[in-house]
Amino acid sequence: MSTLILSRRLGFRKGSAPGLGVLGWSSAAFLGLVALTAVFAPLIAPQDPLQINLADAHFAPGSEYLLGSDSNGRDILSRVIVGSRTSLLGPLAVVAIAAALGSTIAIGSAWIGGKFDQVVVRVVDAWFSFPGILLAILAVAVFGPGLVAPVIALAISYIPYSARVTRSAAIRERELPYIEALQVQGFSAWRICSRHLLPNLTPLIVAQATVAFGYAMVDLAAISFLGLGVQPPTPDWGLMVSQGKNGILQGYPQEALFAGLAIVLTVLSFNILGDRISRFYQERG
Amino acid sequence: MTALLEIEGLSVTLPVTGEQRQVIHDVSLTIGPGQAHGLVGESGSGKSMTARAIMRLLPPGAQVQGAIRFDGNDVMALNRGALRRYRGSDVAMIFQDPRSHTNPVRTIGDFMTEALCRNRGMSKRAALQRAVDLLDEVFVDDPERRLRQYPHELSGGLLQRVMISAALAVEPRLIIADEPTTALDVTNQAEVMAILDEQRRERGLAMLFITHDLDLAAAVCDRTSVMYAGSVVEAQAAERLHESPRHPYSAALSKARPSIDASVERLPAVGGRPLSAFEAPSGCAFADRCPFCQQRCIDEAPALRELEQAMVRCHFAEELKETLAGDFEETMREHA
Repeated sequence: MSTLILSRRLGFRKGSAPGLGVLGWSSAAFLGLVALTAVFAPLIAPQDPLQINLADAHFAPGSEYLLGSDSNGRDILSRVIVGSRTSLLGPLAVVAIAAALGSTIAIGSAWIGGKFDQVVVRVVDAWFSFPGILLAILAVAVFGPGLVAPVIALAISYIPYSARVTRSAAIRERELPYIEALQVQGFSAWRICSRHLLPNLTPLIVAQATVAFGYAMVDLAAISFLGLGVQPPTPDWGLMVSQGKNGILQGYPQEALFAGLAIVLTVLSFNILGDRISRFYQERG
Repeated sequence: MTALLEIEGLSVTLPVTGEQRQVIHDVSLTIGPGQAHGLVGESGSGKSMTARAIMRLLPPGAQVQGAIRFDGNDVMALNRGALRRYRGSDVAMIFQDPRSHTNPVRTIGDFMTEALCRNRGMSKRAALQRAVDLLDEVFVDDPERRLRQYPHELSGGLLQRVMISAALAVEPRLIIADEPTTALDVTNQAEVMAILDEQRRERGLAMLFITHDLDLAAAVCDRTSVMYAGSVVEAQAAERLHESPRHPYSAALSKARPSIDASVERLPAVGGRPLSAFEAPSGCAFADRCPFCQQRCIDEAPALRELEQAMVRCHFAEELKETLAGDFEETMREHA
């Protein structure tokens, strides 16, 4: 039901032009393709991404290896395809946690209002000033490298972004007369917030999360690049850029190039899509 | 007769830029079971604020004096659970603008059944059936289809009928109708009003009817209170208020209405502008607009007192009795 309404708000209506524009829709289509690739990665990948074949190291893109091979002779295309899994799963977890906790804080703060709201705003402002990557590195130092520690650390540092945007919209929504009408009907604050306020703010939360996804992806790639995230030999885009960086100087840029390209295109698509969704949301009021 | 709703000496102040401003001053009214009480006044006279006080929906920072009792219980002292029960099943409210008072992304069916399922513990299926029956009673065509529609797909009149049936659905004992027909177009007003009136009488519900239309209040209410600048200036039986107003303000309001029987060149108007309660001078709040104002009115605030079955807040109610019942348009014109 809510997806129906969301799709209506995004402009899937008869007789009206799509609300996201050509660029928005092509970004959405590309991201859909990336997501499908991630889901069916083992079926799509032409070769085993972990299969080392030192005799085939540093092949240029060609018929044998479509995107070439890396320093260990592994197929770069297969590694990019399978690498999409950790590369997408990480930011997805970051954004999901941040959006869930952020909007809970935002709606709670907007609902209670008064001094409580003021305190929350100050705390969120202070929270903003703490760099996410630093927190993630700290988390890795304590809990060891891998995907989980940086994801949780980044999620915590993304909460204020989600909270700030959602709070201002929640305050506007809370002042609408229908909220008062619901109070008059004797519904609890919890019910009004969870069944009415939250669903009506969902388009905004989705738009915000879409933009944040791109940033989270870059941050996690950076952490992988530093060797603190996903560990080799697991394929991951950020890690591939890191491992391929020596090849650039030696004249074999393909590993870093194609993994980097995957990151750039995906993040760009997320940014465009997020921007279009939020612009659309603002136009619709 | 024991009162269902009893308001006694209600005064409300709201914080505006740092200071507490008076919005309601010494309002008292009593509604018995099954009785309809009209609350009439200009915009800003405190009608809606009184209704909000009854629902305990006042903005944060509001300070309340006086008592509001529902069925003998102090509404201001209800705890959270009791307040929910009170709002959910004792009192229902119908708003002026039905469109802005419904969640735009929920269907009519969701809107009508949520309270039934939640506050009455009905199953979704039973609640939907009840919603269909109720919509039928307020003459909504094809109720099953309406339940699947969204508020924006319904016309204002239709949506207000949906609101009325949703208010009736929880079987409240008191309905607060805050200008329920003001936002509707004229052809719908009479119909919606008739439905509300009929349903209320059939069920024996008490009603607080807020309007700025004296004649409409007279038609549907047993008793009417006229508010001016946050205070009740006159209260008496609805039909008598029209024939023999006791306060110059209510008399002037009646005169300022066009009548179908009389043809006049120009309607007499009440001179000046309506005051807010916080602007009210120390004397009578209506003094500077009153065609019969005297020195005493400026010096001394009149109290609400009884005069021949009516309550009136005027020093000279006895002296003006004859004048107010007759023609005083000329005096009004001169004063304006």
